[in-house]
Amino acid sequence: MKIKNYVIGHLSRWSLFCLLISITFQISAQERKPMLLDVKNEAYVLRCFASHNDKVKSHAVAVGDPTNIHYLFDSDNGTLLKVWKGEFVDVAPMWINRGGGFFKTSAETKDISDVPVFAMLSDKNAIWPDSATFAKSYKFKGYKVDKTGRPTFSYSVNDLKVEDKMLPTEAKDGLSRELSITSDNEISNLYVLLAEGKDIKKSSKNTYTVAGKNYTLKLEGKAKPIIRESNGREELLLLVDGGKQANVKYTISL
Amino acid sequence: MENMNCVINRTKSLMKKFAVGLVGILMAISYPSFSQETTPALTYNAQEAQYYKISTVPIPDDIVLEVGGLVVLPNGKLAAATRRGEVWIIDVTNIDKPVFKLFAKGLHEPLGLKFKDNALYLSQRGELTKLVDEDGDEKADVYETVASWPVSGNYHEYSYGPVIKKDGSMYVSGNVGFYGHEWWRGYSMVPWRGWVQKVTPDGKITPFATGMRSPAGLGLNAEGDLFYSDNQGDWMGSGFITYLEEGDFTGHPAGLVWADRPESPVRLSDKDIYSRVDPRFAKPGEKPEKIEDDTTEKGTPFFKVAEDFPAIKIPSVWIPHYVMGVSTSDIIAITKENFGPFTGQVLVGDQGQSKINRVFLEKVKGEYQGAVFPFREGFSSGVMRLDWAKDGLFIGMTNRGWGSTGSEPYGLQKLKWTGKVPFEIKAVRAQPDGFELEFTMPVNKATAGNPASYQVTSFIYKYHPVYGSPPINDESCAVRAVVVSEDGLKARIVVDNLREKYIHEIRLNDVISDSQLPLIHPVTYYTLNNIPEGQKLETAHMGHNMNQGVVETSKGKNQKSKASSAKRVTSLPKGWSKPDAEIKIGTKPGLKYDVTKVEVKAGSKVKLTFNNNDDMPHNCVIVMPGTAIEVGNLAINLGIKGTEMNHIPNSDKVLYHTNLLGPGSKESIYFTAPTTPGDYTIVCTVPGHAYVMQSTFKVLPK
Repeated sequence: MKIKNYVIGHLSRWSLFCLLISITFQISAQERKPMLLDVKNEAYVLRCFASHNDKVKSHAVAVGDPTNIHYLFDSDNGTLLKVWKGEFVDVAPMWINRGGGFFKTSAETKDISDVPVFAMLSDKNAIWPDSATFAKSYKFKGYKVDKTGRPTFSYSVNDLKVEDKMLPTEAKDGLSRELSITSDNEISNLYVLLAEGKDIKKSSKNTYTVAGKNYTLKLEGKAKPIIRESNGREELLLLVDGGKQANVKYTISL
Repeated sequence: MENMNCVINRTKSLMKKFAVGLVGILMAISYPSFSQETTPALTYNAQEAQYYKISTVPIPDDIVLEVGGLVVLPNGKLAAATRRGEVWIIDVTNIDKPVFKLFAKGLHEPLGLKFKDNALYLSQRGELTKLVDEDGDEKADVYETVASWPVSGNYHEYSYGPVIKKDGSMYVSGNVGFYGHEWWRGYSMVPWRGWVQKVTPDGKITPFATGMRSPAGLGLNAEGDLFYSDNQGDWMGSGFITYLEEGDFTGHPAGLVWADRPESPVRLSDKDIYSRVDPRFAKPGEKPEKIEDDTTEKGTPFFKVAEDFPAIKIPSVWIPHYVMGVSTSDIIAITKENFGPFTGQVLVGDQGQSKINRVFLEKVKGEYQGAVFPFREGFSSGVMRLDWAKDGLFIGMTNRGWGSTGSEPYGLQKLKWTGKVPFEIKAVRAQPDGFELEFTMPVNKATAGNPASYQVTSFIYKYHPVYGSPPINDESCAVRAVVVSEDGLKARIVVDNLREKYIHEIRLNDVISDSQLPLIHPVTYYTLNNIPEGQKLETAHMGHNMNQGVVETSKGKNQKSKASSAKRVTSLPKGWSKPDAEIKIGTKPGLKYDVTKVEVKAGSKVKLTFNNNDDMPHNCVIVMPGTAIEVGNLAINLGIKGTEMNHIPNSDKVLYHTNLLGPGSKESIYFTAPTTPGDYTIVCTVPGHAYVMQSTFKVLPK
């Protein structure tokens, strides 16, 4: 009888131990394992906090795509912050415990820009505005998603209305961006910041390399952008002047 | 920007903590699932269930329905916004077989949801968003930003709402943040955190009122007036609901840093508040020390400060901490006739205690005040959002990050009235000389007519930068006389020592109905902001059905024990050269200790240090094997005396304990481990915590 009790006692303790271990691993898996968002069939538009160049982007949007070309957009500035290929986002920091975690991915991301996408410059040497200055003229309106879940962002800059659509390139090696700008008035002195970095060079017709960031940019159409030095770095700017609407389209190849 | 960097650093350090590895993960297990205890019957659950039935909407395994927003659509379907940023449309035609359809995703922790003009409106952390299904495929295609607001990127910066008033104006609210520096103190790092903002239908957003700390509930009462709920914390002695008007300041001073901006309607500065109550900021150059309640100080109630500043709005109805709830959430008016006898009152959810309270509101001298009653407990997770179906109330729940009495991580339930009228105190109305209690059915006149059946005590809370407050200035109020109305539905009690602005606990002993039923909830808390003018009862000339008597109860003594006791020895006992074992215990978010198990040898000398690094108060109580829930329930029953007793019930099941420690406080106790080996339990007896906040204290044979 005693032996039986002893055995049962040990068995139950052992099974409890096994249960403990298995649940431990389940929970630990839950807490530790990255929680990757599924973008196999449809794009995913994720609003989040992000840290970019040690600055908080409190209204960031991570867009994941079935082609595995993903990007991070700053809805406070109309800025394309990052583009990358591979894993989309690990949402565990946002979705475990009290939340509030920041954008996270283990993929290698490419930083594109950190400053407002547009500026009205009175002359072409004027300093590019910072976010706080830009915020006074800018309003984010949200986005529409198409049947594949891909967004088109809308925002206004003064009296300009902008539709901003980014799509993976057909070769799945980068992102193409199309900015459709309309206004009730003649557009004047509007500059679009296509790229910024340490060293921007024209490599061939309408194609530029951003050396510090290691990517190439190809501008469509006949417009001629300028490369200028400002604040110790270079900016690739396109002037939009005249007319009530404009389309700017360019491709970033990783 | 320094602050921003601080945020990032903190985030990085949090990420590092995530990576601590298996040891940390082992600690994350909530132990109680392995304890031998079965969940005991809750205090009121069984009686309540005869009148209000809870049913559960099953949720598919692959949907994590942590409800942040909930609304019943005109077609009867439910829409639920989740903390993971999804919006689900749920067809509940057959409640046992609901059909879930994903409507939207990728939103930033939405904590509100409303339907208007064929669109859903919700607050994300940083904006108010309108969702529209343009092509009719039951999926949102338009995610329109109606209005946005700054956020610094702190975890605690939750945003709630909207609530929509009849005129179409919308209101959203936002928490203060908690940062590395003086992490127990809420800050408003960017404009309009700690505020309620108003948004017009065309998207114009303006600051409306401030003083909010954690304003999780926004709602309208039956008259359509705007109320909001707040939680206990720094500057908040207890949870409450308050009628909110433009320009109001409700208590937490963090948001006042923006009050001098031209668009602010609030005419008050934080200096005004700090001139009356020392905020106890760390001195420049000094390391911030966690601030604790100064028990030698009498304390200043919030209403005292309000006397000097017209912008201050004191709570309409306090919801006394621990005894009525711990984390006030949604507010909704009972507009349905098929929900029992309480039409026109409001329901207020409580996340931590998984329950719903009921509030009766009345206007006295033009201002709202009223009584809070327990209504229904026993929900499966933390009650967050409420909305009406045709035939009942839907309850959307989540407890992620904080834990709740209902142990499910999330859930969706429905509450229906069975059609039977419960015997309850239906309403309490202030009278010039006491209170009028209205019942849901005629009372037994012998019991209800006896002044000894009523016990009235009044108290208030301190207004100070410390987390929470003990009840202070409590005095008993003698019940001089009772008059029961002819129809037996009302009892008017004449009460001595009424004090304006104080919370009056009214406890009924042994009052039964004419049909011999006991009261389901024999206690209510009335916030007596104003005593009405009017006719007093002539107690000298007794009517034939008036009973007179004086019931004096002893005056409460607020002597929070700081001295050692046998179960709490705070210095090295005589004869000990050093302890045999030193144990350090901290906490983890979500009502957990940071260790699941500690082991000591029988009869060994133990030094246990409890470091409360959480953002809410806890204690550390070592109890006999298998008695954690029992002791936890005894602690709940201490009522408003609980805090001053450190939530330690007088029970032989309690072996050793620390005091109740505020966030950031530490205490060491010395004791000799039990001589009988076994699995004892370390439990936090702060009401509601005992269900989940447990670790094993294993005593090994010598």
